[in-house]
Amino acid sequence: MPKIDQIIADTRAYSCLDCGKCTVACPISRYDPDYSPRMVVYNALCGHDTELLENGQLWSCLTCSLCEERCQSGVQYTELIKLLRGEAHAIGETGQCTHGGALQSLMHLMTADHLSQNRLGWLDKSLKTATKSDVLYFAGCQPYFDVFFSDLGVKTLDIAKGAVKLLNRLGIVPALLPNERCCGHDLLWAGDMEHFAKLAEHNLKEIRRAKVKRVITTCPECYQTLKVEYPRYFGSLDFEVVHISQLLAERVASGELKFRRSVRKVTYHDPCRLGRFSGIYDEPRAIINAIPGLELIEMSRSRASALCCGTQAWMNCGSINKQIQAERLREASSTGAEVLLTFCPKCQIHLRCAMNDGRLGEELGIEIEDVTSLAAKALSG
Amino acid sequence: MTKPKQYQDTDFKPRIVGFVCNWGAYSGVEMAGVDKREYPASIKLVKVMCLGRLNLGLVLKAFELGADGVMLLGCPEADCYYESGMERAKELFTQARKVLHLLGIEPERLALVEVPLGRGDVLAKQVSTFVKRIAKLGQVRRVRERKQPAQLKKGLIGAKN
Repeated sequence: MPKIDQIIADTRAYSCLDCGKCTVACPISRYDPDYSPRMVVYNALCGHDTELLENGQLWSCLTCSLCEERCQSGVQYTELIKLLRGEAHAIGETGQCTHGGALQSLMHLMTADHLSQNRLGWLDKSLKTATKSDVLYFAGCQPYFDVFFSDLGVKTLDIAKGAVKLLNRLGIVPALLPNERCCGHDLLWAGDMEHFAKLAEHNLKEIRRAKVKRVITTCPECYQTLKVEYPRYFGSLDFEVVHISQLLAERVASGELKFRRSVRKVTYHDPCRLGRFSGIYDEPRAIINAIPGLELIEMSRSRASALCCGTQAWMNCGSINKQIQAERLREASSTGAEVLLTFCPKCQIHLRCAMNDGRLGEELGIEIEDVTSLAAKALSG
Repeated sequence: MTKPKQYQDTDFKPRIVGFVCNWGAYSGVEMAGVDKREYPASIKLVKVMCLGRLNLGLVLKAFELGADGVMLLGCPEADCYYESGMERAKELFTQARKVLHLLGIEPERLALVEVPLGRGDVLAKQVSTFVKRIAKLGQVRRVRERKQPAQLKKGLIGAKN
């Protein structure tokens, strides 16, 4: 069977009824009439391979999975996009790398066999870590993000510090990998299987060498990639992957975790890899509701209907993405909340970037914080 | 065939990329030629209109494609043809060095040098010093194919919008 036919079969694209609900739901199609998920499926089904792989539309998809949520025929649209991008990449096609390709270069540099990173400089004396532990904290690219996006006032390392502090409070002394690589999420979704595989192999080797039973992540992309994508390509894992929200919600329910009072109105933005991809909607809300004084006001589009933060895989970011971000920020402000909470360092980077606008800055401005760092700050005692 | 003098002791030939500002540093390059000043051929020069045009992506790309060192050759800050170019270059230099440090690549492998208008002697001296420094540091410690990634087939990558 030709490869694209196989992809169509694997992702149930043949079930498409051509109803167009996907295009109605798609945040990109709202602003870019040239982009249509329905047409991508149509072109795939009709064998218009050149149109499909080479006209550039393939790289605009946010892979936010909102269309998949709406599809009644069960077409796995994001998977279709991912696999088609793999085919397009193989013939030398690629999206437009934002930030001058710096993040792609960073990921490629991390595929090196010998690497001695200095990625743990953020650990301070108050945070307890161990070289040997049953639990590993997979910090992700946060040390790099803070350098790359210092001009946006991004402090994603607060998330990492908060995570270790919270784990310590729960009596967990986590191990950290000094040579952890990027999980490869963005290369995978850009169709660059070769480099993704290298990163994944390195990470799996390092995690197995650390002999841990549990890997905890704070980044939803790391979570989804480690938990779902790694086993898909490299066989079953001999460790459990947990997102910190799951652990915290469990310990909040059992009463082990208590927070100080903090009176504020907040709203919560569901990251797509945590929400629609992993079905983790209740846990973040349970943590927020466990902090006394916090009033959670939902945005009109939340949970499975949440709007994407507007950019994916450090690719194809432009005026359309900016409009989506502005839309989301306005939606957050319209709830009357003082703080926009999210659970993904990248959502935070993208939304902060949109706020960093000379003309719209004030209109879009809202305080933004990660639930992990918020919970760590609110720890009692 | 005998090896060029500077490589006789070792087989290591540093691969160095130099981004050169069109105004100050490039006039230095031309003057070095006119004056027949020698400097190591290990440096491959890429002319840009101003160092302010560079971004982190270009610096990291050089390392990704196997550079052992990268030189940013600009003008004295006050002489910048576009006023703020060197200021931006300095910000980039600080940021890029931090990223290199995180990656475990010695930050000294990236240099920012000011070359006044027409000073071939300054250029030749700075390049020679840098090449010596990199020769001492050796190859960036990593084993990887130097194959060009498939994504480059379509030409330069960069932001569209």
